[in-house]
Amino acid sequence: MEKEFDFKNMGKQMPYRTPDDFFGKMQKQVLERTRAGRLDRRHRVRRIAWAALAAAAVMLGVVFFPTSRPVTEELPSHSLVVSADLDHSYSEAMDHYIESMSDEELAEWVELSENDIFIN
Amino acid sequence: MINEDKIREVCASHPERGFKLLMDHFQQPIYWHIRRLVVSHEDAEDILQEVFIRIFRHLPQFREESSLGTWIYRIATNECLRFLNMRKEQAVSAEEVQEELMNKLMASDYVDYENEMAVKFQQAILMLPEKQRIVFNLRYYDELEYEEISRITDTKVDTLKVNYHYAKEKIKEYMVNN
Repeated sequence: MEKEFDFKNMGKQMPYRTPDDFFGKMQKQVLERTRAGRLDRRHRVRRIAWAALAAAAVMLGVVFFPTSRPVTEELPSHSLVVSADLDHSYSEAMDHYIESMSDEELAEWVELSENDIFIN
Repeated sequence: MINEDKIREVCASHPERGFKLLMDHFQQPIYWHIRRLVVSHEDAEDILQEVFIRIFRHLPQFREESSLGTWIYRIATNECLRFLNMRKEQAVSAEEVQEELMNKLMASDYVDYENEMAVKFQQAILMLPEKQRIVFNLRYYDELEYEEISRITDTKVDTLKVNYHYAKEKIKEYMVNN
């Protein structure tokens, strides 16, 4: 008579093992990666905000400095003029705003910027 | 034991603490699920890390159309299939992928070869076609309901029941004849 195999005798045992403290180390690694990812997203959003600001400044420069005006002296580039004049408090306010953004909002910003041909 | 509602609640108010709770709760079952599918500890480790990074990124978009557990199992299963399909894209046949998995089972630092019955049982599971293997593991080891497995694998419940039945028959046959 053919012998029978009984799943109950086998149960859930498996021959697989893991290195010591594998799960503890894995959790640490993943949490570190998520933290690094969040910081990276904040930096990228900050860069996007600065790029947008610089673009706006250049546009303003074009409006206020008509091209027909004779150039009598060498001017620094418009974006530099604006950058230099930027109030420090504005920069702080922007940092504060970026810090307060949720991960979802940051992800949306980053996603938006990745598809923006003017920023990339 | 902490439940899924509590995890979601903490994730919404304190994302990092919530995510840690989520990992405490799901890390081990998800690792074993992945390990049973890809066999090698090293591959399972890489996939597990990717799965949790993916979960962290997409958690705010989780719409509660299924339970958190089902959603996580679905991400993990898809990630395993993506990994296994990568080999198939490199012009390796399904049989060769199966053979590779079998070789990994027989040559690993993280397999207890003294437990011969358990090794043979895993060999029997690895002989199954991919879909049957997934269904068998989710039902037998994780004890998930067919409805849940259906949402994870996008397969009808009746089909899953048939798959599970055939899988058990094939495993029995392998265990008796080898």
